[in-house]
Amino acid sequence: MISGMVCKLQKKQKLQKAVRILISVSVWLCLWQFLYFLIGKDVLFASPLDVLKRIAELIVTKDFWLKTFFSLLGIMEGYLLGAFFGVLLAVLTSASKVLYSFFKPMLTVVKTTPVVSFIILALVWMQKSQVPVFISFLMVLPIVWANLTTAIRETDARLLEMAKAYGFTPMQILRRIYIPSVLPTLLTALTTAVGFAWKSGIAAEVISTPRNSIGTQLYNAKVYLETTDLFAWTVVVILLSMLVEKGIVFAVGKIAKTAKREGQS
Amino acid sequence: MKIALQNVEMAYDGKTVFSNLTYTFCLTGITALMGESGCGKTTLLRLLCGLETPKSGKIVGMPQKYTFMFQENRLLPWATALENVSAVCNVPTARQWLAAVGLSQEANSLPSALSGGMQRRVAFARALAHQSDVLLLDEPFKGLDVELRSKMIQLLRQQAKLRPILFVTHDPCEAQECDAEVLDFQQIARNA
Repeated sequence: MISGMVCKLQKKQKLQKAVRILISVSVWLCLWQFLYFLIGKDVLFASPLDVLKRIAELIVTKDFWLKTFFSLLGIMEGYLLGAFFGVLLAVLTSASKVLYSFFKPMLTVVKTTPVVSFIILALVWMQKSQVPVFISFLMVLPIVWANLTTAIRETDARLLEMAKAYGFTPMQILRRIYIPSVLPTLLTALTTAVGFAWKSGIAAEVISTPRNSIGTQLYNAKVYLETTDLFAWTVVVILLSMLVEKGIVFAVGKIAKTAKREGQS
Repeated sequence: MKIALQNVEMAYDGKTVFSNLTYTFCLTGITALMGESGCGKTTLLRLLCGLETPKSGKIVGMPQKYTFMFQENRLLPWATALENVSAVCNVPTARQWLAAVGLSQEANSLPSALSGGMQRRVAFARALAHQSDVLLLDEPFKGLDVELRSKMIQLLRQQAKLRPILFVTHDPCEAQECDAEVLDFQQIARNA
């Protein structure tokens, strides 16, 4: 009976949340429409309805999926590489002060250098299609590294001492203490990095204009003053970024659960 | 079991806790270590476990396998009571120890959902579940009411038949109830 009540309560809370989101989105759409009326020029500002129509036209074309797929592939490739090397570097630099001192200036430079500088340099160094991968990688790496390094350093020393006193193996210390301890920070870093990967990756595409990419479509929209297309592709990028973010939260949660399960065995 | 301290000196941030300490602990059954706060009881246990390194001198006879129950509970906050105990033994044994300390119902609760006394008992169960040659406990009954403390003391007395126990306490009644040999560490340190 109690579980039934809890279930009902959860359903009610979910419904309330959905209603809140719906109201919030509706208000913003109304504001968008209001701005459209206020500006009154399609070439400067597209209406939400036109954008929706344009997205509906686009998603039925093979070309849309092709461009979306290649953009997604490139940016995610850079993102995953950045996340992987960010984690690897964080582990190494947490373990060795020498390595930390060695990598710190390089990562600070990467963090503070304007992304456009890197895009232009990358255009000189590599093929057009590889630029978004490289740029996403460069943006994600320092975010993951910096956050994870801090999290590893802030792992509760008293728990580590307890692990030593009870003779935990290095693998047990990793699974039972380090992973659960750094996971919330890592998850935050990974979700923050998704946005950066998309923003920088699309910017790289706009500048490098590889053949099949969303960035090239945005560039074309700008050149031919197709503002509705510009808005439509931007909405697509936002939706993709949100979708990827959800996927990452889900995947990291799954990995953490598996790690915890294996840690118990 | 004999554990000998030979001219041990210990200092934190330049402040000497004790110096020139030479003493041999003959541990059989339960030994209660008493003395005023700050006289170095916890430091001594930490030295015995190798969690601290003495400034000079050495410790002889400390077995490789020991159990140390800290003054704080030091439970993994993301792990349930059962997971905390089974971190040092297998799951059935962990369940048995949780039952022994009266926490069967709370096996799947996180430490944050447990009271201070319950958390202490989980830490106590973890210490007893850990296989070792000697048990070192730092104020193991802190925060427990009289009734629970008596139950935990019964468990400790059973354990004393299997391995020697050295525990820190401020309460002479606890030492008496444990039927423990009492050592005044303050006196030992002063004589050194």
